[in-house]
Amino acid sequence: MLSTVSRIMQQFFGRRSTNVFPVKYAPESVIDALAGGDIHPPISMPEGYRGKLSYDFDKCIGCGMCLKVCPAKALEDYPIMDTEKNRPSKRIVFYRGKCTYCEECVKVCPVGAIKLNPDFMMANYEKYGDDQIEGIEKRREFEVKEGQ
Amino acid sequence: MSNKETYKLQIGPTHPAFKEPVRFEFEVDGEHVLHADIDMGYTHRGIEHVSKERNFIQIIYLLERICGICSTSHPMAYCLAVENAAEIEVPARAKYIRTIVGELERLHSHLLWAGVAAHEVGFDTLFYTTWDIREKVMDCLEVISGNRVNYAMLTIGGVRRDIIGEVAEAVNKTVEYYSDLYSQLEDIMLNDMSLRLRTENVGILTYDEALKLCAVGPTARASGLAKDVRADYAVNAYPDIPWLKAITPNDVGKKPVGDIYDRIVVRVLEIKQSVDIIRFCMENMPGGEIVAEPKAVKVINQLKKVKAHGIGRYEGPRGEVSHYDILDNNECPVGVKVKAPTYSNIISWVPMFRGAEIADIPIIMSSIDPCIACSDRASFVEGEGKKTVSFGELRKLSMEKMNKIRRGL
Repeated sequence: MLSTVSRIMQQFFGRRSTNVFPVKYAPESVIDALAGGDIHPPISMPEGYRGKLSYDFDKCIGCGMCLKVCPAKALEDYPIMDTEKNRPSKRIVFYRGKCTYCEECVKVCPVGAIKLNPDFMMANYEKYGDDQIEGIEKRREFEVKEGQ
Repeated sequence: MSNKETYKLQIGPTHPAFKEPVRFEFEVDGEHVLHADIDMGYTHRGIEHVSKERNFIQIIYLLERICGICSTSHPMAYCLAVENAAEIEVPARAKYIRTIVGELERLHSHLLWAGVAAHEVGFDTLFYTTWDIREKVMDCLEVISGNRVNYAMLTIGGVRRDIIGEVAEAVNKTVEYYSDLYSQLEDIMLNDMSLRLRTENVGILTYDEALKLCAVGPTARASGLAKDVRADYAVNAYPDIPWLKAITPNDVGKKPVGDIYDRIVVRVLEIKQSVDIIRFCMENMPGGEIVAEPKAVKVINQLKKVKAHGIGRYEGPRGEVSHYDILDNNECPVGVKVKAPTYSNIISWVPMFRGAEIADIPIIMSSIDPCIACSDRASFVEGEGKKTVSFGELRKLSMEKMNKIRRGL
């Protein structure tokens, strides 16, 4: 009986085991707390955790191998003009909402332009919102549209 | 002779007691079920068809999503099938890592089932306890693979991540945690009076019925049918384990009855067995490579040149998973056939429900640990409503399809 009471008290007053999601829609006080680093992941993020994707536009050589292996077809390529080599090339964007976090593109990339980070806070209401598409700014800047 | 009337009771496709959509039509006499009719096909997603449009590497992650719980079993059977067809040799270390991930998955699946079953009989304290315990193995899988579910650990010809250093330490810690906890878990699950009252002599599947209806996995083993793919057609590291055998209630000196209690006994004993297997693998893991060919694109190109068919069998947490793949000089397989364990166990529900009380329907339903999404491989969409296919017609259709496949090869 006593052990039950102590357990209940622990759950009442102890540290909560959940975080409020999505962060940007949470009350401001919570955002402050989260910004202050007071988030508690379920376990400390282990090495090799498969979280948010990051893409290095400058490293990418446009070989398109990642497109071949992506099971969810979360990647899309678009044409650019490679000014250094002075020839047309390709770059990619990631739809984070489609990603299955299998890491296949990371393994296949010959130059290491794609990485998975330990960042896991990606919840959002818009599946195709700007912050759910990795590399969208670069696409707007560099994409070569037809007829150009 | 009174003119007793029986009633039809419909449960499903959506019902709070069921975790997945399936429809039952019970013929009831008062509180007793006389007959059960099962209607499936509400979660058909056409995965087999979609597979034909994706290359061999992409399919692994698609098949992983057939089932959220046995997300290693399906890719395992698929990889074994493709390796069988293309004659790819898997390195010894990869075999051990595959076994460890598979057994950790079994551990979490059985604990999840224990929670669901406890919830179905109204024993929610046990539900919270088992799911609390289960978190440790989920965390361990997250450390190994980087994902909490859908581990994406397997690839054709091996595994994608090694178990070394801190990861190995985490696995050892998990093994210790569960071996310390086991006696407590066994005590709650097997000796609790309220659980015994609800499960003993309920939903009986006799030895003969299990044999006749081709039950698989813990459902078959609880009826005394010593049938386990791990022991019978051993793959991965299982052939190296000398003491591995199919677990039946005989192992705790109990005569198998085939009731729900026996299914609990089998699953609880399998938790211990899984922990022992993981410990064995951690102690005896050989060194060397973890994958035959690390470059995914090279693997696809290699498989493009193969014209063969292969079969892969693996004992998932719920029973035998088998995949049949046809490779035909193409980037994508021309045929993928999935047989999930629940598919074999569905028909076992009929004798289990016979004579049961209405209040026992949820627990009998969940006692085989059903995964409806796994087994929904076909859905009848042609014409209006139902069509009954006779045995002869079905045989003819199967032969036609088989001939078509043969001609294709």
